[in-house]
Amino acid sequence: MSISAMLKISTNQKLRKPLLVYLGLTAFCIVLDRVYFLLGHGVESPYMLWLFLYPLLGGILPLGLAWIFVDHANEVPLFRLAYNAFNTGMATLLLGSVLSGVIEIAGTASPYPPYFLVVGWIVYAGSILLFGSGLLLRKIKSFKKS
Amino acid sequence: MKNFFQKPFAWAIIAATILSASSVTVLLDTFVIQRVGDSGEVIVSIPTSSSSESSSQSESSSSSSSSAIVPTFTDNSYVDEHMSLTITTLRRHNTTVYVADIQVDDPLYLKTALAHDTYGRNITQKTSSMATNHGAFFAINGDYYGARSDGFVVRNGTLYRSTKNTSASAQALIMNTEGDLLVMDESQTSRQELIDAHPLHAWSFGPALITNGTIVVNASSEVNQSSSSNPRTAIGQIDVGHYVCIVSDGRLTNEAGLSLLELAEEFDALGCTQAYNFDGGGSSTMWFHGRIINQPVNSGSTISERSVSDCVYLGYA
Repeated sequence: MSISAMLKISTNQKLRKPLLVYLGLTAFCIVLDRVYFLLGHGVESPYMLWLFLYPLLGGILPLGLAWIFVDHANEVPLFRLAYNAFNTGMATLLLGSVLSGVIEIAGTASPYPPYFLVVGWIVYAGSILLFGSGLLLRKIKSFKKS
Repeated sequence: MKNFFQKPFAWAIIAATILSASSVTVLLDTFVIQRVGDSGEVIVSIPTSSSSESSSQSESSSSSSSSAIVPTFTDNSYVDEHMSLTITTLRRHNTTVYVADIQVDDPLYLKTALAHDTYGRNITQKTSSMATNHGAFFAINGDYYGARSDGFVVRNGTLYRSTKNTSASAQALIMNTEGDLLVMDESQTSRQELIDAHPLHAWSFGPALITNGTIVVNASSEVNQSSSSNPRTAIGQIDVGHYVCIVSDGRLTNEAGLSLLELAEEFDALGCTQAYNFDGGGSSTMWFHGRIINQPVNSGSTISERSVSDCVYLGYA
């Protein structure tokens, strides 16, 4: 079965929009880094250079895996809570990375951006745990039913 | 409560508000909010200038006292009985380079000033303004200490910050009471060792360009994540009381800027045994007798002078 056919019959059409949003966000991060690089007279920061990896690996990858491997992912118990935490974690990580990059490129320092990254990772990890818990709950429920 | 957090927009609005507010707070704290530091600790006593010296600079033409200093200015030079300065403009590596050759009979004439005479974070003032306020005739920007929270800061014998920059490559420059410029490995230098070096001034930017007559940067050396060519400001020493300040243009169509190696080579060609890089980029400024000598590019490609934390100047006040 081809990938396109697989996508068409997927039960996760509701994940199409967030997937596209994260794809757009990945492109935006790449453009942002290039524009900032030019405006910053060639001063580069790894926080900006690798910014696109957050939406690409942290956003598209897990959503894509859910699309492919989880039936009716949006109906998994705790999905809404997990999805909210997932987006918040990603937003916090992106913001923390942008702040770190801007501050580094300006040649100054601040103790606060690392807190964004720590909080972002915790919330993001929490969202994955919630989704995993939801999957487990669904399995237990279906096992009890059968 | 559970239902509330599962509502998509309620969560999004709260999260966006918290993230926006915290981001704005971080940016304001980093770039805008001024925080005045303590008044520092005097570690080297500096005698005050004689009244004739301090008054003569600003009132040179009307001097009536026989002991008053009579300066002679040209467009690119200054001379009196204690100091002389000559600014030479060169063209190197598709860049205009301004070289100030300075000779003083007392290192105390090479002074530093803090923006608004106040130590602290985000307290800034234009180099030209600081120089004018101190009756200077020549000034360059310093290390912009206020953008960072660590790195040695000693100005005119007062220790303001002894928090060392702990990165392995951090180098501080001190000018001791003999007027010698010395490069110190900052991460390996304690507060007491700094004080024992009797610094009139200590700067924390770098890297060192030349130490003990040897160029110590290479073609790949750079300041943090910077690209290889930029406007630069640096100071070097040829001999006792004989210094060189170099400022280069950059970030303009016909001004490529210098790499650190190219900058070091300029100092080397002038015979400097020590040379050290100050804050460059948009901060680079050379001011002489009421005018900006170089073309400072503060933002974009607009030529304008940036406000900075500190400057190095020549003068009596």
